[in-house]
Amino acid sequence: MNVVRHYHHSFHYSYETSLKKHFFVIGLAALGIIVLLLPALHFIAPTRILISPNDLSSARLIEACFATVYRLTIAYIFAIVLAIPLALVITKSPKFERILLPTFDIIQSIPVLAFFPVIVLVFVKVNFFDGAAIFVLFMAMLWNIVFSMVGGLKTIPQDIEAAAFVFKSKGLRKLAKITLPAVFPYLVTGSLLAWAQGWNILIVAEVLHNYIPNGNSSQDLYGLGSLLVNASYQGKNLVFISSLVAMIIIIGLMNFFIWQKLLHLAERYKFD
Amino acid sequence: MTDRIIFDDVSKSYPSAANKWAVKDFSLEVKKEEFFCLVGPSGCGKSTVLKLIVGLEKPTSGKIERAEAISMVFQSGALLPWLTVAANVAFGLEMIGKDEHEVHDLCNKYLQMVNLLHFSSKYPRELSGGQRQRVGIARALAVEPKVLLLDEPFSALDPITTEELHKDLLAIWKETKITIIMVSHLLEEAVLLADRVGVMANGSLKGIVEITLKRPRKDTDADFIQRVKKLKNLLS
Repeated sequence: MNVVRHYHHSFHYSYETSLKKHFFVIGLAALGIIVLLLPALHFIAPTRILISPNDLSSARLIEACFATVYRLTIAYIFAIVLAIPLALVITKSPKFERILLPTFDIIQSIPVLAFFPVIVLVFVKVNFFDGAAIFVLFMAMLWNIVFSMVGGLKTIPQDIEAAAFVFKSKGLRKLAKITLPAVFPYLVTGSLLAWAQGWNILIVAEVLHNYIPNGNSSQDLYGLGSLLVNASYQGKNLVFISSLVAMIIIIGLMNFFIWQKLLHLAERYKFD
Repeated sequence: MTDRIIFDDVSKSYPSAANKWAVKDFSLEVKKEEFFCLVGPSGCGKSTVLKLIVGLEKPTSGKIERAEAISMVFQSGALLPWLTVAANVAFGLEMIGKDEHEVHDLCNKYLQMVNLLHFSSKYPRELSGGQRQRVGIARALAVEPKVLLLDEPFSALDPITTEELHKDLLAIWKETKITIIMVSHLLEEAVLLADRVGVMANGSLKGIVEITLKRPRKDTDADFIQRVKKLKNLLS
């Protein structure tokens, strides 16, 4: 049976950045931030009001990293689980597409932060603060994946669709054997953009107190986003720089260990 | 269920298309174990005829009688780039629920038939155009059809590869004794391979020319040239 199931592991079709190059870029970015931002922050800091004077330990920073990545991951899982059926429904028939595509296009063009205050109030009411952040991150991530996948579904060649019909591949088997592999490169690029969008929104998503009437920073979710905002607000330059460097390191490591590998793997799934 | 393909006054229209009738009043009978070739210019409806045979399109009017086990080779090869050669050949077999042992045996049998057994763990993009088309043929044969449809399978290949594949296809046809219906826009290719050649234009069958020449045929023979001329006359 080996002959049928055997996949070989040599890749020749894409460019892969080395780990050394990656660390070099991360290091350079961190150094740039320290050199450029530290004096500027020092200048601004005295005008800020100090709310929470507690210093940040390395353990707390790691905790913040995990909390943030956890929220982003949960939001991403929800986004991809919903995006796949949504994209499949949109492309199911020209009729669905005519109705659903413009509808989703309008929804996705409304900035996710526009309805964030309402979302926060709803989740605060049920005392599920993390839910507010995850929901807003999910909304920010969803559309990138949906529209990337719709694009991917439309690039499946007609001959492949015809071959699926001739060889009696339909339903879930077609989904698993043809459709999902065929859109895999688009899911990867959509996911990459979704995560980028997630990191963008994070700074707002974790700082909930801005949206709670008479709120204060103790109502914020502990994570890199809230650390960045509150450290900046309180003039805690070291905390601010550490959080920013930690965020860059996480993004860099994710790029190297996840996105680069997936983009590389996606080459195998592209039609000529 | 018949082993033949019978078109009884079949028409197919696409209301949105400029030329509404893709196929018009089309009647044809392709016999068991026959090698039939359908020729005609681009857009004349010959590929639609194949789609009607395989069930990808439904006729607007008329009746089609067809064999149950039909397989197809596509112009582009239509291989799945993420699967190895062997997994591509196994694809159709897995879809019809063959067990692993059978899948393995049939894959090896048909990869051997197209001389690609030693390429079984390669990926389609590592193969030449001719090799990919051979994989497409092996995949189509692996499901052991009664009728094999070929939609301009050699149109993107160089002349030397095409010549090799012509010989291989005839050898496979002789060995498997299946009915073949091939679509081509090359009159010479049709005369070289087929028992009968149908000429299509504007969605209609203009005529059928019987090719009684002995195989292997040579395109320099006077009889061969005369058959090609006859087809040309039907087209003009």
